[in-house]
This record gives sequence, structure tokens and C-alpha cells, in this order.
Amino acid sequence: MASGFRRSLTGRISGRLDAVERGLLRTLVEQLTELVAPPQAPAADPLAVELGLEDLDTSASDLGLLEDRDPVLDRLFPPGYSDPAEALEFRRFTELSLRQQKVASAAIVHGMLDDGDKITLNPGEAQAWLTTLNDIRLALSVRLGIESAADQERLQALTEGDDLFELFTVYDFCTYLQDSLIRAMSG
Amino acid sequence: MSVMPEEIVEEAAETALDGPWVCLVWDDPVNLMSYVVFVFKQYFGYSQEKAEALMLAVHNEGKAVVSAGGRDEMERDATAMHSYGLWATVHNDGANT
Repeated sequence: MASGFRRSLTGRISGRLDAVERGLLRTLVEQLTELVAPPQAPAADPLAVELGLEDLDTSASDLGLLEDRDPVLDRLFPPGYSDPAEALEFRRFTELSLRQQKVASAAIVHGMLDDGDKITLNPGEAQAWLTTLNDIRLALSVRLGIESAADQERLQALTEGDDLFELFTVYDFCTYLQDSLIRAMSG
Repeated sequence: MSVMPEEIVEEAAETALDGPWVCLVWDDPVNLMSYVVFVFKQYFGYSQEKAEALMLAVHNEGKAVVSAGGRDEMERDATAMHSYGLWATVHNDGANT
């Protein structure tokens, strides 16, 4: 059973996660990584580039910015401008590096789930856990349809056997872990 | 006769044309209040009091201006907020919605 994260008197942050909890986190981190990993742009045809028929600029469609995106991606990479054209331009310049950052943080968390129940975090690792847990919660919130505080209350009232009960339990677990980590990092 | 170096004049003109822009953070039901305060302190270096006041403004008003300056700077701030998972947008203050 998880004990959440704590800061010791010496300032070290650590927590305890059992094998089932680590297995659950591993799956969630892998799903997140799959979702946010930069899409593989189709390789440009070298001959076409040479002839000037194709330019090397990564287009918006190559980045998967235009076509029907998973709504989770819109939650993780929201518009930076209220004007759609400016928002798209902003996205073209920022989304790739944001995706790379999230993949890197997720990899740090993933690499720490195989070493037993006790998890001790240095400051960089704590930061990776903090943002990755938040990204997982944001992704789950889209699947759960959490758009308001009322949605949250409705989900809290679910009982075993309800459709979203298990998913909400997972969300709740991530919330608990993240909350304990914020306290440990702030303390 | 002006003795101002050309680059200073240019910079001043640029700032005048370029500002003021603001970065807005929007309320959402998923990001924890404690997390939003943590982010405002860590990224902007705001005090606990200022970070809490801004978090409450976001929560109660639905959105709050968290920083102001040149356009590039505001785009950097908004991108940083997105990296934390907060929703931020960049606005020209004159056309602030």
C-alpha cells in the first residue's frame, strides 16, 4: 500500500509503492509516452526536395496538429492564443519541444519503477514525477469527462460496478500521490 | 541633437510597438490548487502570498494575468505553463479578452 511521498529531516524525498501500484504506474506512464511522443513525420523524398517540389519545413499536418487529434492532446497542449490561426502558429513553434520534455520526464519515472518498493527522489527526479503525475491526471480527466467541479463530485459518488469507477479510482490514486509529492517538495 | 546610440533607440521603439502583452492562466478542475501555487512560485519566483493570491484569482474569476511584458517573453511564459500542464494564453493587453 502506498504511503505517499514525504520529506525526511535531512531533506530527502521518498515514498513507498507496492508492486501492484508500480505496475499500474508503469502502464499509465507507457500510455502517456505513446500519446505524447512526437509523431513520426513521413521522410521527405530527397529527389523531390532537390527539385524543389517538397520543402523540408515540418508542416502542421506532419506534426499532427490539424487532423482529428485525440482530445487528450488538446488538453496537454492547449491553444496559446484565442485566435485559431495564431494558436496554430504558436503550436508549430512550441509543441514539438513540449512533447520531447514530457517524454523525457516520463522516461525518468518509468526507469524508477523496477527497483523495489522504496522510491527516493533527487530534485530532478521529483520534478519529473510531479509533472508526469500531473500529465497522467490531465489525460485521465479527459477520459473521465471532468470539465467542472460538479463532474468531480459526480465521479466521487460512483460505487463499484459503475462504468467509470475503476478509472476514477486510478485518477484518485494519482491525485493522492501528486498531492503528497507537492507537500514534500514545498516543505 | 540626439546622441542616443542607434540600438537603444531601436530597442525602445520595439518595446513600444511590442508591449504590453500579458500571459493569462485559466481555471480548470483538474490541476490541484497546491500545484498551481507551487508552479507560480517555482517558475515566476513569486512569494507564497502572491502565488496564493494569483491561484485564488484564477480559481474565482476563471482566469488571471500572471505576467506582463514583451510578446516573446509572454510566449515563453505561456509555453512554460503548458509544460507544467496549466492552460495559459498570450494576449495583447489592449485587446485583452
